[in-house]
Amino acid sequence: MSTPQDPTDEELEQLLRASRTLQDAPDWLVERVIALGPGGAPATAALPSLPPTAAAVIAGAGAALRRVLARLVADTGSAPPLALGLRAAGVGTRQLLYAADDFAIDLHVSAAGAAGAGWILSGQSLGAPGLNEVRLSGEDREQRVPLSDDGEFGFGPLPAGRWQLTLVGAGLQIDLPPLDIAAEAAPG
Amino acid sequence: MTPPDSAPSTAEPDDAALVARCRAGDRLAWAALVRRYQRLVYTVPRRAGLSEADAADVFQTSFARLVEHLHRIDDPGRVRAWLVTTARRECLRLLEQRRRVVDLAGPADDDGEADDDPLARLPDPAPLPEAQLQALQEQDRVRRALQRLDARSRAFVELMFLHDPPLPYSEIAARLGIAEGSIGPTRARCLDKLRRALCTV
Repeated sequence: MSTPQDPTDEELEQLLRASRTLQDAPDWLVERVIALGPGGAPATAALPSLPPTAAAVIAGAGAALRRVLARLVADTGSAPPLALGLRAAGVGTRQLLYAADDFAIDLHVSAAGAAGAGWILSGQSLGAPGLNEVRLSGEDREQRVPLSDDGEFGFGPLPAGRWQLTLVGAGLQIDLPPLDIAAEAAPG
Repeated sequence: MTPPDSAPSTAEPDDAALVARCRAGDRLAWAALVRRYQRLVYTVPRRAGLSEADAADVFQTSFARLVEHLHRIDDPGRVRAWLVTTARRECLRLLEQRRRVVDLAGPADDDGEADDDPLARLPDPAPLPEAQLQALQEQDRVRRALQRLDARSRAFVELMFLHDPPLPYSEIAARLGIAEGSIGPTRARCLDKLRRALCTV
């Protein structure tokens, strides 16, 4: 009888065939988990985006900053509620609602004007106070804007691409799922 | 155990060495560890019936827990088992959360179709028994061993055993530019290489 270290040809073949059901994690997910690793940027720096699903807290060892992953709970577009991002293929304004801890983030994506003029990303933090800045990264750039007294913020016009929004407050960072804005999506 | 002659390279650091480097803040070691086990950790929630979105949640939480516990793992050489166990625990936690939500939501409408019944959409409440987790680890191990074969042997094994649906011999021979009659001996040689590679992962 063979051992796990010394399988027969038949056992190897069975293992290989069974392994067809193993699934690679998406590249973006692997990269983000790598970004969580030890020796990374200080907790107070702009950290890479995090996965897009159910709210979860990443309390890094010794980190002073609590990181919360927002989850998408509503989307007026055609994408299913738990889609990993937005493919903005429609016209007009698309509204997305995210939840994270005691916060809700209302996000709007709208055409900036004529076709090809880009996209406006605007939104509002609802619920508990405490957030004061929004960071938008993607396309090799990062922009930061303060939240208004009403918790509102806006960016744009932005080119098509993958964008990552992060809301930051004292000791807290909320990461939203990545947002893919398609180049072919013509404003209405 | 001494690897046989011409065994595949053992240049890659083992898990214990990677964990030790991670503890010292080596980001390259962390990246290597994540890439080494990404497929295994992601498959655990998928095999439990969770959606891609929930699987992503379990995946990142499992590795985040590893970051938290890097300095407290008693046996760094068993980090693979640690990750699998953690991923399974996160799956169960997520499923329990879902169940509570469904319970609170109450029964589905009487006139709703079966597809609208949230209970019907729940994965198995007790997924991934230990034997299945062990099998997953062995499957992942053989796939990592496969990555250590030379390109030609790897291509042969992939076409021969990983293609779904299976390819006829004639198609495999055509793709690799070999005679159909040589497939049998090639198969034996490649499996032997793979068996030796398994000793190194």
